[in-house]
Amino acid sequence: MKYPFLGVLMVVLCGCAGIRHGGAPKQSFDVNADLKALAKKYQEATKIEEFYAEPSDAKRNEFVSGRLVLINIRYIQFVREFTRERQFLDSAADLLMLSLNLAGAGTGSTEAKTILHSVAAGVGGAKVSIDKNYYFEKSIPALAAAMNAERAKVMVRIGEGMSKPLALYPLVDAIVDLQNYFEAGTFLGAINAIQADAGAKKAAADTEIALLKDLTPEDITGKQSLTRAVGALNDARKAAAITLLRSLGDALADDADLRTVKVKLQGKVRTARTPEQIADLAMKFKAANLLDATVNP
Amino acid sequence: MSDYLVEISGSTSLAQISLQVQGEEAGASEFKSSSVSFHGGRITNLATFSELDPGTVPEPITFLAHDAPLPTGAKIVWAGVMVVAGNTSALKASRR
Repeated sequence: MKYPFLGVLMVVLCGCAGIRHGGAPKQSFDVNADLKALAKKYQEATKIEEFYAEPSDAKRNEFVSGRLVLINIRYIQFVREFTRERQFLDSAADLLMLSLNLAGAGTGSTEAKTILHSVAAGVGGAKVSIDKNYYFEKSIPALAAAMNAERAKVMVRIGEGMSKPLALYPLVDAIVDLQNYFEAGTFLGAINAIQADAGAKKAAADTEIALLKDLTPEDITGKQSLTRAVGALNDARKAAAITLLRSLGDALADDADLRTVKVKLQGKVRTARTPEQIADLAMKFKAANLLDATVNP
Repeated sequence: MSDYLVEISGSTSLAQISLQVQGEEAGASEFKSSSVSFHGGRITNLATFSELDPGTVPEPITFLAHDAPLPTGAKIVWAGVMVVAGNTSALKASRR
């Protein structure tokens, strides 16, 4: 190459432009302005007094679909603030497209299609830097996925409602569902959904979760003594330990190995969680000569 | 050895949380973490413990407010949020 320096400079400058605009050319129009125009178009359809002037299924659906469009537009603007991940924007754009269909806009509308295409492509300027906290950034995919999932669930309910006559899905019910739809698209809504799901999974998987009870330092010392007695178990005391375990409901062979006996006996100590249970087990340990009588309790 | 869950009631005081966890550890277990969860129809704390070898008792563990000074020679073994006496609180657990 005759002018290697110039060649390198051109590559660097072209690369810099790509990096500055998120790896894509600068958008030729203002996506936010277009979303604003779309919102303005549907604003008029969502006035409650318009519905009550002449209530009907059609007026209700016009109100609901208009509100859905507005909520979805705001949601896309919100999501674009903290992520450019295609998968999350795609999902949000899908629901907006659905609500536009319901509102009669149709996916054939050139204006709507162009806006939605650029929204879904995630271009249009540098990502807004909101919070560089490491844990927040790691949470974004989970939060965005939860919001999209919860919004889709409520959208199904709204869609079913819109197919019912007014008497079965009155406007007040629709307004409640629209509010739930909005809240599903918030961080708090996502966190609640994640926690409820995690809690439900834990509850299903661990039906027997012991509730700890109040203990005194003396109770704790007593339980520690039992644990140390298990640790001190040797072959000479193994037979006594096996007899004790059998009296506590554990069937063990006479020739069970020492480690097995220790593990099982430790299990009994571990599950003694109230002062009464600890004291009762200590008495049984003493009776089996497994606990030094000079140690508590 | 395996991990398991126990519940620490959200109405428990901070001092009693320390005692209850020490009590559980007295049975040859080690506290690993706790999270605010929904279980049994209530918001509560679900704590994870690891079973230790028979006869093993860990060094005593103490739960403190997140901004409380650490006891001398102690190190933080866990930090997080628990429901304490009905309120959500940021805590840390320390052990020598």
